[in-house]
Amino acid sequence: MIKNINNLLIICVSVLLCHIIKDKYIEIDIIIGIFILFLICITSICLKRYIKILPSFAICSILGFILTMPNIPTNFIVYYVDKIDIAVLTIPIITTIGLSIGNNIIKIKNMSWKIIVISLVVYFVSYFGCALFAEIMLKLLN
Amino acid sequence: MILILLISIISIFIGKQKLFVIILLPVFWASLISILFSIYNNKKNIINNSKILKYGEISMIGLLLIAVKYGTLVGPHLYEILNLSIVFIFQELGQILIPIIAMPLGLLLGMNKMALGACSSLCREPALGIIGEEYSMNSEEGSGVISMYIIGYFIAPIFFTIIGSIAKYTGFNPISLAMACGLGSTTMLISVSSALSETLPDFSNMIYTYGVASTMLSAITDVLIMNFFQLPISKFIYKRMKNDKKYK
Repeated sequence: MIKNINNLLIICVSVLLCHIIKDKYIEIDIIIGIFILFLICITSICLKRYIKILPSFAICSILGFILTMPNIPTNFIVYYVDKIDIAVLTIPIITTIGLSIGNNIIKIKNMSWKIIVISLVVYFVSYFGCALFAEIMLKLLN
Repeated sequence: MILILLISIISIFIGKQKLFVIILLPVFWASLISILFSIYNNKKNIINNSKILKYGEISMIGLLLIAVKYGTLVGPHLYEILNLSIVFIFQELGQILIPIIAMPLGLLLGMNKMALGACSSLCREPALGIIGEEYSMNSEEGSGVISMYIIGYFIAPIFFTIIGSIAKYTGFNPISLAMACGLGSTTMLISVSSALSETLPDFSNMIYTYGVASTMLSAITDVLIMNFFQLPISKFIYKRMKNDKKYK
């Protein structure tokens, strides 16, 4: 648990510093926003112990969804969380992911052209799969 | 942490660049620089293995922040989502065709465990979160999903522009083509919907509104579909094709 909080703090501070560097000034609302995200993440890590069926990623997004629904007292957090730019939020996280590849980079190198083929197939199927299901549903409804 | 910050700051300074149809965001630079660093580190060993494992743990936790942010993007629009027709929700289920078609192909190409990461979904942030939690970022499955994620920055804008321009000739209803535009990533939405509205100018307004609504919905549904459909299907296909009953 302490390790998780520690890791989360590293990311939160990096996000905050990235935001300050990008905007070139310090805004209190962003600090509050990141603190809110931090609290929700900690809550969902705790909840994960009781909800075995869902991964923490799903618990986090559902929690974020429920807390910001209209007519719920906690939806004031939308104001603060909206201040955080999702593009800035992803930068330090993607950097850490890139660094975590480490020695697996050799395996990826050997797969290079296959990955491209797979990605084309996946994109093709995902678009036309969704279109196909929508088409079927529209036909069934009328 | 200094290394994370250094790379992030460099990529913020490079900023948004445009290369033909591809818009390169700072996130792309961040992934490119960190991958190049990984290749360099592989030869010179600047950071050791235990540090790399720690980066994996940090990134797993960090993805949770993105998850919360995704949830908060959808929450305020609850009533708009409830007003959407059932077709929107059903259409998201089209994603379960991905592992059914791509997974056997990946295994035939000899990708083994990497295929589980790469072929089971569209490989955007939710997939990184789920695969990372199930197998850890440093595993083979993890590298499959990461490489697909990064290659998506190059290929997705080009390929989705092509898909958008040929989609008209498939004979599908423009409504279903518009709904399918929302795949869970903004770059994909922009490239496919702009190409589609070029070929179907009468429907361009509908394409944008349906596409945005469907993208918003997929921020929540993607995680659930990945967890309950795509990953179990991929595992099933992997076990069948590799005859590996023990694989969890």
